[in-house]
Amino acid sequence: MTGAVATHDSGTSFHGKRAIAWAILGYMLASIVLYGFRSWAGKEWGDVSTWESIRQLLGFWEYDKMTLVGAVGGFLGFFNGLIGSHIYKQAGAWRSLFGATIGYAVGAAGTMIVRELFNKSAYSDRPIIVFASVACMLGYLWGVGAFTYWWDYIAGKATPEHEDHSGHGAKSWKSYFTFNTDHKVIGIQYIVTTFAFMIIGGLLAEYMRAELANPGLQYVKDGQAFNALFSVHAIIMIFLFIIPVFAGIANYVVPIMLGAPDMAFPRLNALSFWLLPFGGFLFLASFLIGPFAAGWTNYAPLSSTGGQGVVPLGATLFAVGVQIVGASSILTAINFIVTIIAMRAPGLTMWRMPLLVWANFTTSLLVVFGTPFIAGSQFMVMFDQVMGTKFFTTVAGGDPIMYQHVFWFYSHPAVYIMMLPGFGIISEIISTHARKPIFGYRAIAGSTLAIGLLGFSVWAHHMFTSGMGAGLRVPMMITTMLIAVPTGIKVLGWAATLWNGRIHMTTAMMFALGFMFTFTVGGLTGIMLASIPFDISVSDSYFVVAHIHYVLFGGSVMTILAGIYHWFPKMTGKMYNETLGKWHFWLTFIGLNVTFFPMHWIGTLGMPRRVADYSALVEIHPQVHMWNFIVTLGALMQAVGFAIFFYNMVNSWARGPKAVGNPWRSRTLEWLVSSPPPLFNFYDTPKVVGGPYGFGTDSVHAIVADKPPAHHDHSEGGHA
Amino acid sequence: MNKHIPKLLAYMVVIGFLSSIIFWPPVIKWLPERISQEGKDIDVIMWAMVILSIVILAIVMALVMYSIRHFKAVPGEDIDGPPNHGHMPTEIVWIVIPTIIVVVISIWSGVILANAEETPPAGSSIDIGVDAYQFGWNFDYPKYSIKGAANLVMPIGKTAMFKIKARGGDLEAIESGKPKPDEESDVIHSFWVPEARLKEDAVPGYTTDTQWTPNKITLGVNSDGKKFWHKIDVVCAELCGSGHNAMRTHVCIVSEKAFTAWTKEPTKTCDDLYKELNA
Repeated sequence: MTGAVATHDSGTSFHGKRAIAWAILGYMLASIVLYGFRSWAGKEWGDVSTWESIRQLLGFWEYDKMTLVGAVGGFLGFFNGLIGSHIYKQAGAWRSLFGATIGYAVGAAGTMIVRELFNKSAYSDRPIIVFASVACMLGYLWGVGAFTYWWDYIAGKATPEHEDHSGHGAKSWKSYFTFNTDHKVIGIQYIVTTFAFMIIGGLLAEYMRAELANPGLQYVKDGQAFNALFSVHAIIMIFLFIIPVFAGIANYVVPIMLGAPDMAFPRLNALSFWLLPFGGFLFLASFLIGPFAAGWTNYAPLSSTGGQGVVPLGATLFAVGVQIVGASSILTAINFIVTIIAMRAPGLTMWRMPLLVWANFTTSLLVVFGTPFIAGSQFMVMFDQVMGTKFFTTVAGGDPIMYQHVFWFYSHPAVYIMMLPGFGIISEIISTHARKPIFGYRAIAGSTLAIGLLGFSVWAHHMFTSGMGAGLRVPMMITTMLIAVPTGIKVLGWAATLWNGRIHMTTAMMFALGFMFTFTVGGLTGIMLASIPFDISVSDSYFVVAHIHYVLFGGSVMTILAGIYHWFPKMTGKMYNETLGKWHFWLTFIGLNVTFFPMHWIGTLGMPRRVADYSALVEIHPQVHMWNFIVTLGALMQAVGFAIFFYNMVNSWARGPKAVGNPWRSRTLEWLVSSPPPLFNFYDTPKVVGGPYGFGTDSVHAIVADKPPAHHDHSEGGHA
Repeated sequence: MNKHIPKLLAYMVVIGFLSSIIFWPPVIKWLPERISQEGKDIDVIMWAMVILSIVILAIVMALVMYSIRHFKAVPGEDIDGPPNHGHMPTEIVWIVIPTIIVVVISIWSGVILANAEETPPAGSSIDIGVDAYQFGWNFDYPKYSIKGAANLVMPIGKTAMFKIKARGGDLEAIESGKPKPDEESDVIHSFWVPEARLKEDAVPGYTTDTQWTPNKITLGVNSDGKKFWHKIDVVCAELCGSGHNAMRTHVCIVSEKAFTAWTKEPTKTCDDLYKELNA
């Protein structure tokens, strides 16, 4: 083993041979340590005898506990060899992997030791999953540098009187892989990460559509494998795409719209982001140990006790993962609420704020009040799985319907969390690209708050057939129907904004116009579903799948894409290709209608949700086969559209033509600075003097300095 | 605005007409054959809401399409539109009218629901117990002391009062106040017959209920003397595990006479009944 003396200086250097040598050594060391521990404990591990465990030690490719721990040791050795001791000092992506591994090992070992001390069998999979994954997360966060400053502060080390801002702003592409406190960097980190997860969620959807194109099972092993596909698909799309991508866009844009140099809590902001890929990793890792398969809704008792079946190990990862992505969401929301209340530039009254800010403010309130409920529901499920509690077992005083109430109390507001920021984006885009003030600004702001508030009163419309107290149904129908009114105010307000405007058919505007159609369809089927008798007939059928995808894809995703195209020049300083943008639009718009419209009648004809095979239905209604096949073709069309989108984004970012500060001649503050904006957004605090939609007049929204003032005072600007 | 109105109405009519095409029966079949009395009102309100939706969609899309066609920016010219920030009377109209519409639909829905759940007059109903389990259905007919029938056989014209249970959650234990030691629980299922238009979940530890009155014979001999069987299934509509997609069983609605005969030989399935028909 060579390389004992290495001549590195600061920065990393790679030593391949040393890495391999250390990997083998680490593997053997870890396995020997574990074997020794096991012998001392004198207990059997599962059904594995001592001889069998020695045999398995040498069986490298067998996925079992001894080999796993050995692999952990090997991994650590590999890093040690690869990067040298600097890995411990340099926070970043490499150290986060290292920290994650150490964390996992410590968590697993700790759990086993504590169990041993309490005279239980040392190895039990679910407790280890819970504690090891949490410890893994802490190690990962340490590795990425999330705790550095806070730890120094707690430990009483000297902290600089003025921030040196070394962790702020993007100096190169590498900055995007660090714990960076700049909201613009974090915004882009969010957007890129969430689109990466969207690709995964989308591939899962394509897999499902490949399976459903024809009756019978062709590409999945059994119903359970299919159940896992839609469960992971949905949780990824909801918590790792739609909710956080809006957080990312808002992260980038909102502070600048407010005239602020950053968010109120930049370090917390970075922590919120870094929690996210870890949560996503947990959900995807479930595929390795038995993926969760009770739907993203995870109803008990299927999720907690499984009935006559076995609850997959991945279900516990799901419960932990939801806490992590939920925490990420809550921390961001707190940040937005404080920033929007406390960091508005002079002159920016609430009634002069752009509608995107109103939307994110309301959304953040929903997140803060609602998310703890889904966390609570998953804690109860996890305790049932891990500790044998009986939250949902009626013989012991539990109640399966209680799960649904707790779960939906968040998950209904969640759909507004997934839509309101999109409404804000549409307001910005329609007014800018039609060059007209928003029609009914106060009505749209007020209706945003109304939807947020009312959104907490409708959850049981997901439970009309659940067997809950009958008296709840009609009140919830009424509140659900009433939400159509503020939503209608917005849709008609946007239509009235377009009316008599000067419409520029940019890609962003096209997505906004497409949204007007697809969201209206989704909203109308929502009103239909609010009617209890009709809902009873189609609940849990493909009609509901059609509705949810019309509002989530035809609603949220269309607004996300519109926002990406609209703010792409601001964020990257480059212009995207309009022709490719239009191709993306048409393929997506036509594709999504071809995919999701037939689902309405497939559902009313009698196809339930969450089924891998519909051959029995084809015997009664043969056309269901043809329509499912057409739906799959629509899904393929969308995939092509997205491929074009990703190519356009990457290529334009790398090689596109430079963008000017205000290519759309919009009025809000982010367009009054360069593309991309300077490090702290403004050379001097802007002064807001009018409303944000002053199109058609000479009115000015804000006065922005175009160069730094003579004496730049460091005590101004948010240093949190 | 006035000069635009005729053209705008034309857009609305065209868009409304085009949207309605997909609802014409020869084009797309939306609903399976209805076999319950209560289903009629449900289908009526569905179509009413469809028509309302087409009207609303036509209004919104007419405004959008018209704007795209007539209010495009002139290439090369980069001016703003007029500084119109809103118009209170218009906004009031589009708050009040949708509120009225949704209140009307709510009331109508509430009436349909109440009618569907009305207790039928004495003697015109039949109690049927639904036993849901992973992954199948059994049916009990307490009046005839039948337990565990594999298919749902129903007599025409009698309101079926379904008492739905998922296995697990021992009711006797709950009612007696003395919990039994932990028993294996089942999971939530959902009792759905699409042709009847009604469904209700089966929840371990609960007895839920639903009711509907079959008004069409699906298995019998028609007036030409030919036998027929319109296949209808009970579908599980709540994800219940690996066998969820296969958790189905047949429903057959037969004449009162045929039903009485069946109650004497309840092990017969709908398949058996069909085979035995002489036609």
